[in-house]
Amino acid sequence: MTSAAEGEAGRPVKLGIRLSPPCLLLVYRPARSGAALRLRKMPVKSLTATSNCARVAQELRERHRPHLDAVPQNKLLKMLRVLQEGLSGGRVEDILPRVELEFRVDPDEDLNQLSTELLDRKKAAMDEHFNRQVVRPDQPEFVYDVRQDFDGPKQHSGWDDDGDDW
Amino acid sequence: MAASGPEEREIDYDRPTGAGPLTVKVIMLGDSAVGKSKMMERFLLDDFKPHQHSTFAVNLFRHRCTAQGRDVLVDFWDTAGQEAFKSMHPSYYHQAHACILVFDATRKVTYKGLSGWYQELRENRPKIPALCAVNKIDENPDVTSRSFNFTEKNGMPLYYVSASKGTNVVRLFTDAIDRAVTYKLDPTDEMDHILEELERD
Repeated sequence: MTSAAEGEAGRPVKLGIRLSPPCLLLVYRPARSGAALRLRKMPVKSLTATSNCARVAQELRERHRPHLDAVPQNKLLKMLRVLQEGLSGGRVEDILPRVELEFRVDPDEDLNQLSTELLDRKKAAMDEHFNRQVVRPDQPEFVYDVRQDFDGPKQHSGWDDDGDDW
Repeated sequence: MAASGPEEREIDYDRPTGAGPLTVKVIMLGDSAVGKSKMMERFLLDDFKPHQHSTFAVNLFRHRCTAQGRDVLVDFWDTAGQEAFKSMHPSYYHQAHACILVFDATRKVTYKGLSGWYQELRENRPKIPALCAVNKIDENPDVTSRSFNFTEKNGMPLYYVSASKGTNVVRLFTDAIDRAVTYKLDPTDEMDHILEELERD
């Protein structure tokens, strides 16, 4: 069995892009021990200004299986968004900060109002944390029914305002 | 499982139960990205296979279990992106026996969102048991030593949950099923039934 951080193809080391023509670059260490780092170039031909990046990511994952299996979804989506913005010109240094914002979760933002695609980017950012923490059924430390009581003295959350009428 | 088997059929949850399992409906409410589906997935594991409702954009999860010594068939109703309207179709609430309200331990805005969801719940189902869960406690452990006016004022149990670690997930769902069964066997609100009878004509 391979862990989440190491796919069948090996361990991803770096993910990068080339803007023109759009191409995703993956530096990985092959699963065979002692092997040197390899570079895989993955042209992203189907990407247009209006593409759904999640769909393009899925195509890439399938075409290049198993190389992208261990690459977190939000990292992949972020690279595709930079490529997408780059289709209309511009430098990576200028595009990246804009794209970073799309994947940042502002705790005060009302995510209910986002389009499905924008919401998926926020969820992908949250999933990165989730996937680091998650204990899955195939892991030896997995327990199905984890019960923990938090009965100690409670302080008020500070999340209620005077005007709140529950 | 045969496609036409009893597991696949849509259920009239109010139908008096003769032979076969007791059927209950448990609904999930809360803002986008609080982890409602992740919690469902952690509870159901391999049975996490959503069915789309035939008419409405909701995800249904059917779960067979034992509660209070009875064979129980639970349908969990989970939102499928309607949070944008901050409102669910009345059919979402129709015949529900219990509700789980969820907010995110890392985002106060989702706690604020509970009032709207709760108000809509009570307009549709004035008396069904409601349970509240704060998810992602692994990302904000401090929240486990905090209290919240929303649950206190509404006399609602609060579950401190982590869908990633599994903390209190099974407890939350089994308690919700238990309360749903109790409500179904002894509904406290006769009005609900009268209203539903009228709707069916």
